[in-house]
Amino acid sequence: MEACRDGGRRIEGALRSLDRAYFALLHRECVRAVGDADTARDLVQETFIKVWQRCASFRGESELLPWVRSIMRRSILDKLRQPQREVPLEHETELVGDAGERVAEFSAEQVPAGEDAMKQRQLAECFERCWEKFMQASPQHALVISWIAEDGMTHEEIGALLGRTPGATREFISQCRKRARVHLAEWYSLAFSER
Amino acid sequence: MGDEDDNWFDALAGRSGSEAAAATDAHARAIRAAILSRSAAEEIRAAAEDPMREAALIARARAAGLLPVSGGRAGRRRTGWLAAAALASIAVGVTLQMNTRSPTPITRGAASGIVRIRAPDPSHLKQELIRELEAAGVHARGYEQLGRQGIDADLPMPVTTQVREVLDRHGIALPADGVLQVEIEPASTP
Repeated sequence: MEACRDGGRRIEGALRSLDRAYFALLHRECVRAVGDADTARDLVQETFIKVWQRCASFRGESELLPWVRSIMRRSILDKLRQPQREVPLEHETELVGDAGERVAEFSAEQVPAGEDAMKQRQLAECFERCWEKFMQASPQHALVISWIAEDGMTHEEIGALLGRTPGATREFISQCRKRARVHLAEWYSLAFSER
Repeated sequence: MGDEDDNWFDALAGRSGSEAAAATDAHARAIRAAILSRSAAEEIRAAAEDPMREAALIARARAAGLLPVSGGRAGRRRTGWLAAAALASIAVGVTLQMNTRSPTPITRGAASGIVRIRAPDPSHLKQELIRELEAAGVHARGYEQLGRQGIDADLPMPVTTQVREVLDRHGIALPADGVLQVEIEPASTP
């Protein structure tokens, strides 16, 4: 960051350091989000450029990685906002039959402990399938859910990431929950059955 | 967003909720556990250090104006497309017929640092070039604009033998500034 503020020849070395320190970590997260290693590489490198362009706004008291990551996540969301990826909720598959009932009964259920390894593997595979569909239909909502789970993001952090007002952020989170219920219905059904 | 949404959100984030909310949290806690388990199991790995990748990053930084630009690299890139359209007719006059290993003749010429190629199947040649450049460790970006197929790539400097072989194979001169810009137009069928 000092090199960034100073400018000049130190920038090249500092950019290389940034790449060595954070590329692997950010690339991994980015591949998960966009599903393509080359696109992810572009996004991460664009992020490093943005980091440099915005370094004057970096507040030294906070950690660097979360700040860099927030810039990358905004870039990911911008990319996902491009048309044709988002599917309106009303057009999505509704919960049907037993799966719908199982989700409706959720309030009475507990998180499954998983009796054995086979059940766990089935659950993991089912979650992977459902999550894949969720990512395809509503990538922004799925990603934000994963970031909340992984980083414990707050309303304020999500609002800043999405560029939304507090009210709109709360509505977005509510939509996340609704969409999760739809897209993860099969997994819920499996996870909370045989209890 | 109601109380249930709040409880769901807090449970998803790993924050403990109230006793009354415990049942409705089950849903979110299960998602959280599945996501964390999934993340831990993933095998996506990138090298911590990669000279090619760093070279591409430095080239991007130059193009973005963060580093000194050698040979007008950034400006030429930004205005390349306008120049390409304006100079297309001029380029036709300076195109050169060259020997090539391709089954059909390919005409090449250069204007404003852009290598111009004519091929019976531009899209196929573009893909072939990208594939070969990628195999040589260069991140090449393909595009289509104004009816032309094109490729942009920042070559690692100094250029590796593999990259030089790819360029030689297609009769493309090594760009002095390391910025490869290729346009491929359809050749008229005899």
